[in-house]
Amino acid sequence: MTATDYIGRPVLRREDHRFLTGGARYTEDIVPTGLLYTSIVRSTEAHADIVSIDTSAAARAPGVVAVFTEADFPGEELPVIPTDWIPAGVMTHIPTRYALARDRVRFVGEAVAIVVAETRPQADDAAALVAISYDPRPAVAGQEAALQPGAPLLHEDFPGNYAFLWHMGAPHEDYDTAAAGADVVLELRLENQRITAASMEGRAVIADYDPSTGRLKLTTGTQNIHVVRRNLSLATGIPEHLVQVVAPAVGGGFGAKLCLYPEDALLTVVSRRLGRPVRWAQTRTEDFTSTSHGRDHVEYVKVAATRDGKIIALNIDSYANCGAYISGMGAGIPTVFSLMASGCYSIPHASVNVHGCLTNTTTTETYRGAGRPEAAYLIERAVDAVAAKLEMDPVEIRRRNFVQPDQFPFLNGVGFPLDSGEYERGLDLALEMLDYGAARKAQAEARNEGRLVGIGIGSYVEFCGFGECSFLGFDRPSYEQVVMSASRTGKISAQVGIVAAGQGHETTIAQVVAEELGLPIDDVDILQGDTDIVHYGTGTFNSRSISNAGSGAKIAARKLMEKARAIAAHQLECNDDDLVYENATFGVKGVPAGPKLTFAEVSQEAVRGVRLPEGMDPTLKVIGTYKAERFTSPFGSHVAMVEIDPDTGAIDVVRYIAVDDCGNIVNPLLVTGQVHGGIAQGIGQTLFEHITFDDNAQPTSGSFMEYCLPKAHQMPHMETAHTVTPSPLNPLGAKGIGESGVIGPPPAITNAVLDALRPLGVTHIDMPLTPARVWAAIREAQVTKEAQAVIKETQR
Amino acid sequence: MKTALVPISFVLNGRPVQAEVEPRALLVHHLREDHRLVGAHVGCDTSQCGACAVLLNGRAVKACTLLAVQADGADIVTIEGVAGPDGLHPVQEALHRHHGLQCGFCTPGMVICAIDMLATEESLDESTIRHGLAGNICRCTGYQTIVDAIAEVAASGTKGA
Repeated sequence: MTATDYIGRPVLRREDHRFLTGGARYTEDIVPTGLLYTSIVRSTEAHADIVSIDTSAAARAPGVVAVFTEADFPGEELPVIPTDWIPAGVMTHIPTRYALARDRVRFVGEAVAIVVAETRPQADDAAALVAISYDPRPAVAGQEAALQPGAPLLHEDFPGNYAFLWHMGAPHEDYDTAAAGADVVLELRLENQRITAASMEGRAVIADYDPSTGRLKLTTGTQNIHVVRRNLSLATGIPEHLVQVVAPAVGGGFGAKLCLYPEDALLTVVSRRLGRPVRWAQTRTEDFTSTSHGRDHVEYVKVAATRDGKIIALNIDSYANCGAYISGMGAGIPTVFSLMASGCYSIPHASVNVHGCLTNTTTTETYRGAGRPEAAYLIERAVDAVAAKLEMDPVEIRRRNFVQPDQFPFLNGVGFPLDSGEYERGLDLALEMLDYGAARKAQAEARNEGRLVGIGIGSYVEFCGFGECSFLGFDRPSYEQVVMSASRTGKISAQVGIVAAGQGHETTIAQVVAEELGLPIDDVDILQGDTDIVHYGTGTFNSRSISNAGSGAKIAARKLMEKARAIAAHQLECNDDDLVYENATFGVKGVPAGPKLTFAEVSQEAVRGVRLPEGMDPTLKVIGTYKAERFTSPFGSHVAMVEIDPDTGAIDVVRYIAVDDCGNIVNPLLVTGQVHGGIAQGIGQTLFEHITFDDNAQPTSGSFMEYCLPKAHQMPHMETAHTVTPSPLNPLGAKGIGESGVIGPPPAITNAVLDALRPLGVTHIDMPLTPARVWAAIREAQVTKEAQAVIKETQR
Repeated sequence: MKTALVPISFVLNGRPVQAEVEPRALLVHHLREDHRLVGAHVGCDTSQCGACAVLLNGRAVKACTLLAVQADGADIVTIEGVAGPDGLHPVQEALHRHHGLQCGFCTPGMVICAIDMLATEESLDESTIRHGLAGNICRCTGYQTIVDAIAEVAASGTKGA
């Protein structure tokens, strides 16, 4: 190993200093000259016609520059928010969503008016003076209720509040035939509850339109500057090449900061109207009501298995709550849930119907995992239910159904390709870390003492590194193009089309580049987050940054080195084969005392552009493109051991073990960080988090007072490990790790809880597993048991 | 509505400062808007997340829960004043070494809270540290590396600011 072999090493983050010292600049920290502040007036009604809006008092308030409603942007001047993804063949259009509500509001939190003032407090004061008169309509929050005949209708062009039906896999109606030979047939109804990303930095936007040039600069903490640029241009009519989108420091994204939001377009047209920069920053309550949420599926599952535990048929009908409109990837995410519905298993008949529903709630979107946690929770609950019915060890049933290593590349039950995998190896390692045999023995002893102890498994496989998928209706590039250049002094700048929100790209991408070029990592600078610098990109999501942009960077570095070698060979008057390159210096093979050229000297020649090989363009500037033809398939197994307090229902996660396989690892320190953070969010969903609405679709979880994020003392000590199964698809052999951690906890912990409670007669529970819910499940099972005993007694 | 401004003076990161503030102005807004010290972040509005924490007379306080006028006469240290001329504070160094930060939004609050804990707690074991962080939310790290970092500094015998 040489000093520049960076890949695989726990290199400390190069970006840390500014975050540790208060030097980082998030959107709300930036103050352009002439900045005005805004406050948005939002709907307090879940569903209503707007009768009138009186802005006169607000307009007269101190410091107020302007107040705008939709009436101030007549006709097509009012931006319509486009989507990023219309599922192929099942939707033709999306419900019209304006940047400010026009005539009618459809969820609590929808923007109705915006106040612009010299200071933020003045804007907030004046916003309270905007008087809106509503004529309320009946509202509906739940997806199943929204589909009932006679339910309140949100959009006249979407009858029955039905947005789409997406199907993957075998014909649904063939289930009975496929299940004909089954010994066990089970039906489950599972809720994958609505939760929210809750980045510590809420959304914030600065729009700065320059009337003299027609150029717009939009600063916002987005994960995807290029899709914001595209959709902002579509929404406002500003030509795309005149739109600059900048993501400064991003205080967490987790999927909720991927799309164009109405406020981005609203601030843009307000800035264009006033000719001054304007800033908006969310309150936390606005984040709860106006940033897209995640999950929210109600899943009906039919599963059939033989006596020896072989699963032979799986039918799923999942009802996905899209909210009041279709957010950026809001229709796509529920559909891709179907790709992973058969999990790590070889299931001959797998069929998935996804029903997209519209309700009077905040929109839903990508949230960390985006389809995979929903799928893994479903299949892992189903597999455990079958195992329990057959009185089979949950480990054993998984072994009997896992796709085997020699079956890859494997077309899974719904017809989606998986690149590589060794599922049993990961599970074995997790069980070894737990000492499964000893843990089962301890559980048996605990049961004898009347204690409630359970062990649960969550095995999963993912799709990552967003591959070409026109079949899903995804119309954005799946490649990443890295523009790389060497300065006159031989230092490297690499422009990448991804955007970090804590992932550490300035370290990991630099590791890849520095190793490929044989240069110290400090000679490599990574540029991201500005469309004027990085012209093309697809953004940071789907755990694609290393597999796609990292691979693009490796390819670019290789091209750059080829050019450098050609110049060096030309200067040293030798063939490429005769070049040696060590310690960033070129020499001639077999002539140790001969002439030498440092990489910096070669770059200097390239910039000067005179003594280059015939026909060669000056400068070491190259473009490396990695085309992701297919998705990678990270996988793993998480195991949880829990103890439940029978008196309170409180769950103690005694052990939490995560074995993840993300292919080759560039930086183990940062990979562990991603796993830890994912597990915390997964535990959040499993035990604490729930976005709720009352019967009138009024939100009842609008701050951290009602919505519980895990705190340090509520987290178990996490034990992590990895198996390494390289992806055959990209030059790094990387699969992706950003979302793995969040997938395991819901099935692992819920299965552990059910394992603990099954002797009491509890066979079902829905997340979040709050003490109240666990206690109620225990109580209900006791009551049922007592009632059955009474019935038996009476019958005797 | 015209409100009389209130004159205040306090020590900010070692230097005396004077200002006139609205009576209702929160300390965090005063620091961010009037002194351009934007390292203290507003993450929740309801005093749960701790991203706004600063040291007031050596103790960690949530600057979103104090009025600026309450800083009158106090000694305030923000994240910008934590690192000394010789480099980062041991807590900052430890967080860096342990990868105890990702997006960085909660980090200033974590540093301030850790300095308070190190200065005031007799002994810091894992459980004490975890409970000591109950007022600081991190959505990125899962806390484990933050806890490890603080434990390491505690074990080295370093005491607070």
